[in-house]
Amino acid sequence: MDFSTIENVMPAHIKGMLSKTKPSLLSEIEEIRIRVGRPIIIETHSAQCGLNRDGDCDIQKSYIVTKQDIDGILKFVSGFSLYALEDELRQGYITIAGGHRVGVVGKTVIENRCVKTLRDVSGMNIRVAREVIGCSDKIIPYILRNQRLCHTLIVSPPKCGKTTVLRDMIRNLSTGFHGQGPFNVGVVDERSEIAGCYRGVPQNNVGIRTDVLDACPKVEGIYMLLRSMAPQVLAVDEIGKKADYEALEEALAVGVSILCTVHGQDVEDCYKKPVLKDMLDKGLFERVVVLSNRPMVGTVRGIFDATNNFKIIA
Amino acid sequence: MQLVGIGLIMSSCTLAGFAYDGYEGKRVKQLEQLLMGFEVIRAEIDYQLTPLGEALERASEMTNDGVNELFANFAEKLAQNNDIDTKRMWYCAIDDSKRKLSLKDEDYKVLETFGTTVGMLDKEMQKKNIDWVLSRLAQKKDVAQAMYERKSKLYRGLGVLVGLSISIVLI
Repeated sequence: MDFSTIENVMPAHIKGMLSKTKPSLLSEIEEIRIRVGRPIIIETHSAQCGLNRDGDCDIQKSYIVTKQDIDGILKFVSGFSLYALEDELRQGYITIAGGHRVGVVGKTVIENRCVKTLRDVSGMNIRVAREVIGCSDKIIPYILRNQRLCHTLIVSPPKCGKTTVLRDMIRNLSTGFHGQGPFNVGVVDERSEIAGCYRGVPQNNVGIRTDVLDACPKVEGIYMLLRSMAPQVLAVDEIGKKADYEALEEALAVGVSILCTVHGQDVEDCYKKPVLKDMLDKGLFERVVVLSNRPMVGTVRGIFDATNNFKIIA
Repeated sequence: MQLVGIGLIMSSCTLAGFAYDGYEGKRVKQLEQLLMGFEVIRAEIDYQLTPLGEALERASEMTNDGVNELFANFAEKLAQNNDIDTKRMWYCAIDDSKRKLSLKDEDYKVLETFGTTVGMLDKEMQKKNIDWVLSRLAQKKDVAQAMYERKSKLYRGLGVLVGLSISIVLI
């Protein structure tokens, strides 16, 4: 994991603090919480700590963030180009090189009852993206059948490794897995988290046969890929809107295998979403993979055969 | 000895005339390059929402005559992420590039205004800022070009004449 892209968007003094942090902690950081007038908090999977000029410390002794710090981070994150990130700011997050997501809060500016932009940014949550090569190796055999990928839905609550598992699945499918595949994979990377593109080039390993539409809205991206790149597998992250499902149905109709993720605790949660329930009832998904963060992020709670009454197969 | 002295005076005055003429010609060329560079930046921001650093790099690639260094210098300062004050970084980039530029103080004043709101707020603000700089630079370039066309021969001729006059007086 390239932590330097996170250090690079920090003001010099915070960069200095991070450089004094224990390497073992750096490799475990999941989130860095930065709020004006409050201490910096570093979160790992199992603990929280603060940050000061001596490196990691108790939260009580942590450096208190100033407005200038937040403004500086925002400028560095945007490359001094807030105009280029208007859409991202409207959605409340910005993705930086390496696929790390910077969530922002502040005062919203409303126009025509819609969020126009965000001003007076007062807090940030830097979510560290990690590539875990091989984390999907145990899942792949259950979602491949007769040289094709079963239409697969990955279900997991936030912070359970959905995107990490999806990224590794894409890599495995694109590279080929024990004689199955390889496949041409089309990825609509709306939040730039999957491939972590920098100037259009994937920075994460997503395989050699993967085409990435970076920062593209899912629906438009799905249609664009279907028209232009003839993918065998189409991968998207965090589906949720009705239009997303409609676009996926379009892809299913033309014989493309679907690989997507959705927020939820389990299969029952999926049935609470009317359009997704409809898709499951129609048997459009063949496999459902449920993830959990217990005992650790990316733990597979179960792989279900959606064509066989959600029988657990792993 | 006297002839050598006269020769030296003549040649140095003639060269001074040509040098001043060349300086004015270079200024016109650099103002043209600046106009082109800012047009590129505006198009990059307006059409592709290109981040400022990349837009500056693109402008640097498409210009020359020292103007490319000005844009490259600013892009480099932005990429370092050491300072958050874009205005200060733009002023520094101008200062660092001055030795390669043949612009006048009035031109630098126009250039400096670009740093006031660069990178701030939305796309419209950026376009307005660049449009303003472009219009002012175009005015400067038109005046400089007209002046150059009118006075180019004069500067060169004046150098020769001044050299000749001094030589006559000394003889």
